[in-house]
Amino acid sequence: MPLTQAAAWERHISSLGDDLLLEIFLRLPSLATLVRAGCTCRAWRRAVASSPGFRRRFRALHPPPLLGFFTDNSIVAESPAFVPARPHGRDLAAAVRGGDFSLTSLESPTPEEEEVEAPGWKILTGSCRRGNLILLNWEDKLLAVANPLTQRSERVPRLVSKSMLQGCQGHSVLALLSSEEDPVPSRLMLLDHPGSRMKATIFSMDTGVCSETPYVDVPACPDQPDGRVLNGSAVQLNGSVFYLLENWRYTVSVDTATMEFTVMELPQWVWVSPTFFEVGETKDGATCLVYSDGLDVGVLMHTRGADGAQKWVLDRVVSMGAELQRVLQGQFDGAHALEVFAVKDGYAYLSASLTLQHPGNRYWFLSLCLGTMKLEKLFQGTYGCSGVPYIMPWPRSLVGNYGRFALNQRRSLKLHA
Amino acid sequence: MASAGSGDEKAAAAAMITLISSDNEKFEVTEATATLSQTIRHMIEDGCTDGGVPLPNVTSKILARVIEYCKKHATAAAGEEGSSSSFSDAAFLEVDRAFLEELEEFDDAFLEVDRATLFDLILAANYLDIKGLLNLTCQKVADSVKGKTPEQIREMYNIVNDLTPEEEAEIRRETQWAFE
Repeated sequence: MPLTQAAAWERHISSLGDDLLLEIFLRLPSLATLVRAGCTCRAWRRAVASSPGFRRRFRALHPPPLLGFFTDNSIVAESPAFVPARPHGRDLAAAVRGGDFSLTSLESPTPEEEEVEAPGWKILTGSCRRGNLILLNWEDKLLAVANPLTQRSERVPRLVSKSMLQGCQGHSVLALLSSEEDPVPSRLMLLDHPGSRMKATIFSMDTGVCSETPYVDVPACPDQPDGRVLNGSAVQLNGSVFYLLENWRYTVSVDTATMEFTVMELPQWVWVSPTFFEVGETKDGATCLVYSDGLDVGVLMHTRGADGAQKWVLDRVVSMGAELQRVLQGQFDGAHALEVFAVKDGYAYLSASLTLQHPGNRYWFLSLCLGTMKLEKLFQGTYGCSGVPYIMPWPRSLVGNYGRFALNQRRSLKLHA
Repeated sequence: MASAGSGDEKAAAAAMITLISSDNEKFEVTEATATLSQTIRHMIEDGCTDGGVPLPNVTSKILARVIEYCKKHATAAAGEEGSSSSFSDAAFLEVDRAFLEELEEFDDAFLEVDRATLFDLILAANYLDIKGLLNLTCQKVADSVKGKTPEQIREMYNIVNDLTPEEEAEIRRETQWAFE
């Protein structure tokens, strides 16, 4: 643009263009400031929403914060309890205050129910993706998806959930499917693993249609399948759902586009000794598997060879003794064992329990940064090792140009044409 | 080592480059100053700077400011190279720190400009590919947005709210926490 003419008018921020606007947004201090900037005008929202590359860079600079944990405290209460992480800034405290973290939205009866049922909902560990959780009520064969932050929940119709859950013959797990560009989960996947075969059943929340894949052969599991849905772990990562089972030597991944099954053998040391392992993602979005064995924590990376063959490759094993000493100080007696229970966004979540010589002792919940392998103390609990970390999701209105935003974008493109 | 370094500096100082603004004003700068811009560095490497470098996207007013920034930071870069390769005494580290503080003060004073000039500087820094200046100016705008409500941001930057009430409600519905 020739500036001799431009000098006549005062330059406006819009003359910077989307790329430079995003350079500025990258330097904002938090997601909350970005949300406020995105709400300024249509062009600013669209600049953020239309650039997956920007969102990746922003997340790398400002890791999404942990809001807290849903702990499974079935001895005291019938429904999951939420423990907020501390310390919290003003914005995060407002998010927890304003959300429905006691999941009351689930308790309002649906039209087909006469009265409010006994709660009995269980959050499936590993199910939390982009702010959404899968809830299961095994006694009544009910399924629901809830987002505490937006105070919304959606039940799977009773007939569908009944037929899905009663059809389970083996070990079964559930996973939520959503895409980067439309983070509202539109599909639920149930993986059923009786003996030496496996199939996937997919329920579309939008259309209400259920479909299933044929059975494929997979290695058999040494455990007796019992036709119950397990509490964890099928996780959608980079377009595939990963299924892993304690005591099993393999992981199975299902490509959510092609529904192709891939079996990968785990290295021997992961399944030989009594360890805990979970699949998740590193800070830059790569799929990884983290396991704990006593005081050791190991990280395996999901890799694809030149021939397209997928496998798990050991990245590192680190003894956390010195780190536990540092964070727990006087409370560390060397008898702790670490149990990994979740891996998300570059962090592994673990509990440090005292061994049986100290009955009645409490657990420490810890986070482990996979980049630095540094531990951080979260809180003490007596709940055992299960917990579902709830991480601030990227707001849906700043992802893609869906629904109303898509309509308006089409309209403004037409106007410009 | 030190004498070789100053010899290089002298050689660099001898090589002068002419930059020509969009309104045809000529600026003579040292190569060390000019090569803070990656765009100009590539032109020098390609040997196409004879007869001056025309910069049709930058006015003389903005180019003068950009050169002021580059001169200061080119000296800083030369100083840093000198100190890391040949000196390690505490006395020199002390001098170094004082110099960095001075540079910070320079940057702060440099950014005391009106908004239109700031945007022109961002565009020039982007076009000339001067990383430090782009970072400095973008950070200044980001800092001004920090802690402000959408209404305050619109007012500050003269932005028309063209979001429909439904769109605004859609954004706020799930991000109410960011507005409290």
